[in-house]
Amino acid sequence: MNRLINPIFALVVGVVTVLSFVAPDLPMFQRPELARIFFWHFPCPILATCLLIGGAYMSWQYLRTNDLRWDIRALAMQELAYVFCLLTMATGMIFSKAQWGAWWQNDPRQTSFLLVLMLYFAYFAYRAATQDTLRRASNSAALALATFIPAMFLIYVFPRLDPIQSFHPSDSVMKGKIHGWYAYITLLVFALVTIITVVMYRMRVRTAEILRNLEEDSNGSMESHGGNSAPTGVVRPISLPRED
Amino acid sequence: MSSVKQVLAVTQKEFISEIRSPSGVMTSALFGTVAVVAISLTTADVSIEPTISAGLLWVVLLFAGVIAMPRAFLQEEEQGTGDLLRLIGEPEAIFWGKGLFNGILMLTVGLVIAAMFLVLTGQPVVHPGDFLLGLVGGCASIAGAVTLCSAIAARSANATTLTAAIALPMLLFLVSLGTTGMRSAFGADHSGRGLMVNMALVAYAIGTYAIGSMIFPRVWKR
Repeated sequence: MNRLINPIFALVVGVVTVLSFVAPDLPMFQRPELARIFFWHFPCPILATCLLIGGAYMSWQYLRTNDLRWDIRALAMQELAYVFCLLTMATGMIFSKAQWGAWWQNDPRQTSFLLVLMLYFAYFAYRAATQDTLRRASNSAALALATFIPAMFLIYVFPRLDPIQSFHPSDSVMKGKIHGWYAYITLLVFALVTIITVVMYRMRVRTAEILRNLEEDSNGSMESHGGNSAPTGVVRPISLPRED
Repeated sequence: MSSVKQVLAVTQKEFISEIRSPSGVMTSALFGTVAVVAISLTTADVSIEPTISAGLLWVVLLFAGVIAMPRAFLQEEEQGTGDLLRLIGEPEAIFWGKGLFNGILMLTVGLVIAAMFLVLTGQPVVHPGDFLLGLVGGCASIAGAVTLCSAIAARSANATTLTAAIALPMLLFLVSLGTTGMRSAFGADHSGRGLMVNMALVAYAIGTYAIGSMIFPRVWKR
């Protein structure tokens, strides 16, 4: 059964890709054929948000338990979240070009997402600057929690504030404006990308755990060969005869 | 010793340290003054629009805060007093004490910079209440966020730069909110949204201190 999973998954990906090209153009877009970017743009911020929530939860678990496995999981979540934030930005720029005619509109949505990218870049910069494993784990967990609320504010609240005026629609899904081909294919793409994300997360966690075990093993072997261990045996003071 | 007394004791210690070597307030005030004078010089023969004025003032406040605030925890590590503080102080009291000191310092620097800015650029304040609320909320937000970030980065390599690097992205959207509020105080926005935005700044400050006091004990003693 396991052998069949990969070919079936590849087949489904192929079918969805073909369907996304079969879907009709949207005349409301300046370039109607580029409306298909919506299939890929829509799932990215939702997955990024879910991963950021997961990352914050795992960071909190690390602070609660001091178990480094939570740090590994939190890092994997944050890395994947960052990838999806970058994809959101990239697909958003294509969307912006297709719909509004410019790659960068200085739209509050675009700007706020750019700030989210900076917030989480700071997280990775902090991790890179700290060598001590335990301190890096605890402080980066604290930083992840501290940046989580500004990030959510920037993604969901800031663009909807009354004085802020955005081109980006905020009610397309809630008011049922996405329907027909576009609703079905977007859901399919969302499901596929979610599955890929789960697989990538598990691979990342597994790789990090193997690396950590290898590191611990190499530290252990150094100690057993006398690298950091104290010498065994007792040293006693002796008296030397005085030379007259 | 009760928690409030501990908080006040830490704040008092910070004030004494600052009076003995006033590098934090001096550096920040000098930066703010030079920045405001530079703005005044470069715009001497033009009148600045209220929106631009508000943005310029907020950028100066942001960088003045990021320059001064990180010292609260960094100087403990530089002077070797961090371990003693870890032994004798409750983490919550240390965070609130240093946060309170940073808040007062930032507010003082903010008031001085704002006053100089208004005098040198000739920018009239139409709604003084909005102006003060925005300034207090903004300064408290900057102080809260930078206090937490400096605690996180205090024992890392390049701690001062790293504190600024991790605090600035957290504060950038405050500049946007603060500019909107200040624009209203300068009379460029008549929609009455200035009060709402300024309240958001105050809420952000409260949130930052609340989250900081929850997270800080878990990183301070490690």
